[in-house]
Amino acid sequence: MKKTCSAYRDDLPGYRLGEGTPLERERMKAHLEGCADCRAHLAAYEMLVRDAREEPPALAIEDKDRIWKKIESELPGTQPSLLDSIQRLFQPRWQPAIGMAAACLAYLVLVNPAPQNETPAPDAASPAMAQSTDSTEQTVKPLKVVVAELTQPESHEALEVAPGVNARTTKRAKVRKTGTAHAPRVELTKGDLLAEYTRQAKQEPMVVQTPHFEAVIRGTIFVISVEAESSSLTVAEGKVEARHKGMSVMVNAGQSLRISGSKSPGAEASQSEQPAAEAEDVIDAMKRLFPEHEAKPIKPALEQPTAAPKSTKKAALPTEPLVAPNERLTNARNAWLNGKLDEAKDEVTRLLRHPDLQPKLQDDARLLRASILRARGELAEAMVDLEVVAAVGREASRLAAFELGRLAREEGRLVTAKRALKQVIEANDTDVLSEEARFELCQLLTEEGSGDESVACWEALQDASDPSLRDKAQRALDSK
Amino acid sequence: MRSDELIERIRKGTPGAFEALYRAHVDQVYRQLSRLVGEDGDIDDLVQTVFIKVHRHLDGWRGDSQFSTWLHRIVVNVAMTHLKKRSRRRWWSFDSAEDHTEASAAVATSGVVHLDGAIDAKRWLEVIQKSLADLNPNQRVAWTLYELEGLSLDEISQVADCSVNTVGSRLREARTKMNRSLEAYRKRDGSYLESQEAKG
Repeated sequence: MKKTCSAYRDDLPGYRLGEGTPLERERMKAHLEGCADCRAHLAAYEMLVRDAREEPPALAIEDKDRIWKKIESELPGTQPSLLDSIQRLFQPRWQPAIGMAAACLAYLVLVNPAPQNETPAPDAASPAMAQSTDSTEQTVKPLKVVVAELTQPESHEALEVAPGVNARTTKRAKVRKTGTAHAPRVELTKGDLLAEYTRQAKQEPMVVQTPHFEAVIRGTIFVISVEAESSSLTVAEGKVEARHKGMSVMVNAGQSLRISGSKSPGAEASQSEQPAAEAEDVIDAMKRLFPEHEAKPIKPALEQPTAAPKSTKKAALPTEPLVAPNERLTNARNAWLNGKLDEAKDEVTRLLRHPDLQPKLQDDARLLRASILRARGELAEAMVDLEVVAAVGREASRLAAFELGRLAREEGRLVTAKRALKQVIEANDTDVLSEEARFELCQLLTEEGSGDESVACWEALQDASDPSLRDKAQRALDSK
Repeated sequence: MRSDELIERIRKGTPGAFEALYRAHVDQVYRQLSRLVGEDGDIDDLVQTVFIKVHRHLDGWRGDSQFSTWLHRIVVNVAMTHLKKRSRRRWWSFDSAEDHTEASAAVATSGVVHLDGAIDAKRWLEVIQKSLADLNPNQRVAWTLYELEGLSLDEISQVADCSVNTVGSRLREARTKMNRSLEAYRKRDGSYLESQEAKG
């Protein structure tokens, strides 16, 4: 039977690389001589490979350095090559006033190397220790000037990070968001950042990475300034943990920390002082920017009021011009991606009330709403949406079942989790999703102590296409 | 200094040794990841993940294979994990195939595209990226390592930790898909390709 062009084309990629038997190659050559379209297709495929092979731009040195710093901070037990120990200085300017008000402003300075002085457990309230005799002086911007800039409308701009984060930076700041709504993270390489962080339920502490330390924030008002040779952290409310080269220091309300050092080994510390009288004013100025903030224990985010008095607010169901369902879904998704969870939830809920909404769009909307609810910590409600989509038996059902299985497992609802994960596997047990579902199921069964069932599950996972899953399965079986 | 010497020093706890290993290989890792996952804002994080895994599993390298092969295996694993998550996330973000590229959107609506050279070139690159994005992670890795990195089937099977037959099968599937994408693009607007071919 004569071979069609389509069949020849399947062999073209291999032909150009010298694959095929001599007879096959002869036939291909003869076909190409007589078929201009296949010749053009071969040339196009060559061009595709050539252009795809083009070298990506190389990493800049600064990027390599930045990535290295992140790696270094995650390596266990690594110590910088020439830093032997860190000495902390504590210099109270006032005795602490009643409560957390900023009656006292102290600077904590990390000095190195001083091998004879081991650092005690971090405790910012420890008594004053010997001051550094380092004579290095730096010109650093006073805190008062920093906060003043961050207060003036023309010299700062808002920074959207994640729910619960109310942040602003000076206009010259170099800042990059590197986290998610669930785990807010910001990289500040230059300039000043002032923020209020109210941690939402299930949200991780916020992290601000500077070239000189990493600040871990659980719920506070703070400002961080990054200069060329040092970075400082001042806390107005709450407390912030500053991490540096494997050590950590807790900075409480009314206290400041400055860490300096060049990137080369043998960095020396420097010390700066803030005139005592100005400190209280500065701290108060920071707090005034966030009058609603109060230090409070983490609790589920409050629902925004959806029913408002008719006389003062628009009705929850809009009277605005009709928005096409697809567009409404896109708007909701964009709001979610930008961390505007209230807006995203409202938009998708309005969409779901749309009459005659197509089934696929219904499923997509419910899945999106499940993500939004999850980000808001409303996990039970998220599971309801996932249950609905998982049950309808449509294209989205498997993915919904997978996410339901994972969420239910996190929440300790093991019966639901098992049912959902098995649904994924039974529908199609050969694709990537089923392998991941099987992995979740194996872990669940192991945690539950279901001996034979978990062994059978891990054994089945040994055939996974993903080598890392096969590794994990093997290790699990080896440990039994 | 050779990689095996550096690794010995790392195992002995010599300060700076792991950083030296990182500096020696980061360009290669970055290039390989870029080819495997394409344009992606997460590449820096993936580079970080690779080297952290290298540090954690360094004891697992016994010198029975080239360090570069062992490293390549980690790169491929990290890339695969990322591609799988991304394909699920893409679903999650409800991108439809027609939304992916400017080129395909324009073609879908008008069927005829009249553009100047710069835009044609950009759209052609988008077609390439979309074609690669349409491959599943296994196919993409096989195709990229074979066609772009020039590895043999045997080398790919070692790096991807699967049989040579499996690699061959994934490569065939990838080529078929790439062919189809290319045919569809040529049918709708092959003028850019023709003009490039004429330039020689």
